Amino acid sequence: MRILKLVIWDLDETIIAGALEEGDEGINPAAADAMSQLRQRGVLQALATQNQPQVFQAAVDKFGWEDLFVQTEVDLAPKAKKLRRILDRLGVDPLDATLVDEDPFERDSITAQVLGISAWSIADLQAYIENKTVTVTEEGRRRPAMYIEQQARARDEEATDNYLDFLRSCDIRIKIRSYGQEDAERVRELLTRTHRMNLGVLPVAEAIARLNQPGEHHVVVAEMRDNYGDMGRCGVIHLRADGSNEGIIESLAISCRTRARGLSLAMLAGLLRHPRVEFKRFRCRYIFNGFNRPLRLLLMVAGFKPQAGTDELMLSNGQLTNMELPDWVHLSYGSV
Amino acid sequence: MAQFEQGRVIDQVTKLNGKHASSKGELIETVIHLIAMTLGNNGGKIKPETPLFSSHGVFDSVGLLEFVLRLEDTFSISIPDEDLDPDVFQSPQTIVTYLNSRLQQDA
Repeated sequence: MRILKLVIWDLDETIIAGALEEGDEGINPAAADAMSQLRQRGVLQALATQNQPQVFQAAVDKFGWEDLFVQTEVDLAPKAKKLRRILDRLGVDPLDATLVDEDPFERDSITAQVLGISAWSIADLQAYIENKTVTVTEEGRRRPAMYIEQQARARDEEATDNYLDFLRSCDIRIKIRSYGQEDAERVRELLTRTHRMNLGVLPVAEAIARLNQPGEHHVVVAEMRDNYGDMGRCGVIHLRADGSNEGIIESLAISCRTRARGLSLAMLAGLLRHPRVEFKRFRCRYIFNGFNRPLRLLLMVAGFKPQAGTDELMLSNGQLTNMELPDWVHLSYGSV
Repeated sequence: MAQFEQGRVIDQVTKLNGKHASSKGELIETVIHLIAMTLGNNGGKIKPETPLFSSHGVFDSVGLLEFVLRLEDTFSISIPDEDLDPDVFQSPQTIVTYLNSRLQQDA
């Protein structure tokens, strides 16, 4: 387990103290308590069960779970297949997810079939929650709602004939502004939770410590929203001046919420074009960490060129200025 | 090499190598085909000089990642990070130039 982003619940004999189809309707109090705590922390919750859909729906209505589970798989498919569908649909890496199931056979079976995923009993989950104190950011609290908004986006996208027209209809707005103290926890979250679009050259603790250094340091954050909802602070960059002309990118993380075409590029360009950032060129190191090749490709798309014989990449300000951005993204700049 | 069904490319050839796509014409056809597979269309609008990632280019970074993986798989090569250069991936034509040099090196 890297960081707990998603809990996939089993239903019968785990959440339910018994089996729904046999008429048992009592909720396991330990499960109810854990579900409530996960919700407060913004951990995504999904559910996989072999119950009949109408039986499950009756439970959803009875217990008020409409907004609790961001994804449910209710059919007779093998559990491993259902878990893979949930992970794929939510874009969560198995290393960041756990199945909670009271049946030890199911737990062992799933960890053997879905590489990287954890499988816990409710007691394991309770122990994790008790040992892991967290500060919940606004984005963290809204995370389950954001995934539900993302599903609405995906449904509308599938229903449209023209993807670009759909993107233009979304009214996507990215606001770029300087970092403030109130952003510290969210920036920590971005640097910790983001794996694919994270430069990750510095250990997170050191990257955090460097954010508040005096002198020629620029930390810029990006917020994003569209017609479907507010995605909050999705991107951060920390630039350090090296002489008067060159900006070294010390940290860069962009949330996977920018997956629609052109959004991550627009966000990166927006961060680098912040009015207080006036460098003739930008330089960064890139070290592959097993997950962050998408960031390497984003840097390439933005025009960063590899420097022979080093692990460094370079972008000139001229290229940045000339970079044409998608017309379906509205960039603006503001203060904290 | 490929047939089209309901706008989707059904690939019948999963592995190519220098022997199967040795001429420049075959290489460009294969590269455009792989781009089309990544995009889920028939590649009809993609020309050898089509920019792959201008603002209205065909790829974002996620699509590009999938395309790079397809290139590596199809030609049985590994593309190192230092070769992820905007000049190399500018268009199908520049990719073919790169592939030619790689396939000659590996021959």
